[in-house]
Amino acid sequence: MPTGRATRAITGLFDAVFRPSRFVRAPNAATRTSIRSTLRRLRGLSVVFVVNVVLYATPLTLSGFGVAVESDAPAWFVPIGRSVLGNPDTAWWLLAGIAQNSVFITAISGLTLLTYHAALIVTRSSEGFLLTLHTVVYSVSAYLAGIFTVLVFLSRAGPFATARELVINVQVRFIAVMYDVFGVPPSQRVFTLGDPVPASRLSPSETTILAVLGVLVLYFAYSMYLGARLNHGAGVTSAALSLLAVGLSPVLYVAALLVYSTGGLML
Amino acid sequence: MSQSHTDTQTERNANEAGATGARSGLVLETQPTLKPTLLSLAGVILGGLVVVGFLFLNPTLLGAAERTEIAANLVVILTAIGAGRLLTRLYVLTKTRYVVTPNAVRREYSLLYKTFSRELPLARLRSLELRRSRIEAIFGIGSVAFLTGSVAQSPAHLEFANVPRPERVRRTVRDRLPRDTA
Repeated sequence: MPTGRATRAITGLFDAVFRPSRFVRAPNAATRTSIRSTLRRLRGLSVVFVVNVVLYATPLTLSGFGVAVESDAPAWFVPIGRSVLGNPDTAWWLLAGIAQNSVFITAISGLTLLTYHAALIVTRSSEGFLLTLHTVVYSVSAYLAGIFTVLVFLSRAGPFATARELVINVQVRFIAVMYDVFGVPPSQRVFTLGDPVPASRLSPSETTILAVLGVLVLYFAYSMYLGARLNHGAGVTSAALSLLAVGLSPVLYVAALLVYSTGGLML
Repeated sequence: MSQSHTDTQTERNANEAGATGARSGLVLETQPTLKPTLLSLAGVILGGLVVVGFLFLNPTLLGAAERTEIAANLVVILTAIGAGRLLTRLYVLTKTRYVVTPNAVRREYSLLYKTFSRELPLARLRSLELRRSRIEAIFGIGSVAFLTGSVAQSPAHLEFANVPRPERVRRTVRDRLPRDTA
């Protein structure tokens, strides 16, 4: 059924761009189903997520991004690697690279799932975890992966140096605010705020790529909003609050990293 | 998966019913009008042009001119996506047919070698709903929804959207409903 899969992939891509409501809507959304049916849907969603994360991480790995594993394949992996790619070391290098490149998007997806569902429960709009999972899996697979792809592209493309500096500057500013909130001493700060990057240095192609980034961010936010509205039947306020919770995910992520790296809170 | 399964089933049913309909004759066949979609398309393009034009006339609106350029690019992309979506809808609408047979109502379209057909037997109909927005009222069109009253996520199982002379469609279907429903 490769033709059917290709058609579904094209339709999915079309829906992701032109019909986000159809893209994130859970088909046959029923709040009470059998355990068997729940497990089947859980498995289906897991496959969608894993396939999309691998599709996102493989080109990065093949282009050499984020690959730090240089050790030989372990003994238990040698027969598997040999049967898959012929060379077990290459297969191990590829697998480790894909895993490494998937870590961040997987972590932020998990955090998004938690904050989003917690917000839906708090606002008493939740119609079940599976519906939240469906929304997050599809939103992350398409839009968040798109955002990360653009960011990786910016980090590697030579002609986009100013755009890259601008994006990094925004992220460092955010982390600096978190440093101040958590009272991290300057000696323990990994990132230091540099000079502001003048936007006047941006070339037309850089303004275009930053606009694409902006569109993807808007799509991601809109898809999460639609997920709450369509899949959970949430009201406008509840959906907006759930979206706000998703917006807080990076705050929680950085906070967790700071607590982990500094060994405790200093509020 | 289940969606495509349902579509296949309805398609098969529709073919069978279509054959029956062909034997007993079509009661009514019509197509949705393009006017509201064309109006939306014009609105999206015009709105996008106005915002982009305003941004270019005020290049320092967001500080540096490059920031305004980013915003203008963003609006251009969103306008293009919105226009693309409406153009696709226009294409689908030109391929859509609404059919009333003595026994059923049916919505069908053919798109890129794929045929979709959804049919509702009149015996299962519980009520009819006619909706008209202000714009639809201006154009003399409306939407007729056919409700079955069965358990479903959406109460409207089949809808003839943006159909010209919706009262005629409703009357035609109502006249053919079994007595206990009508």
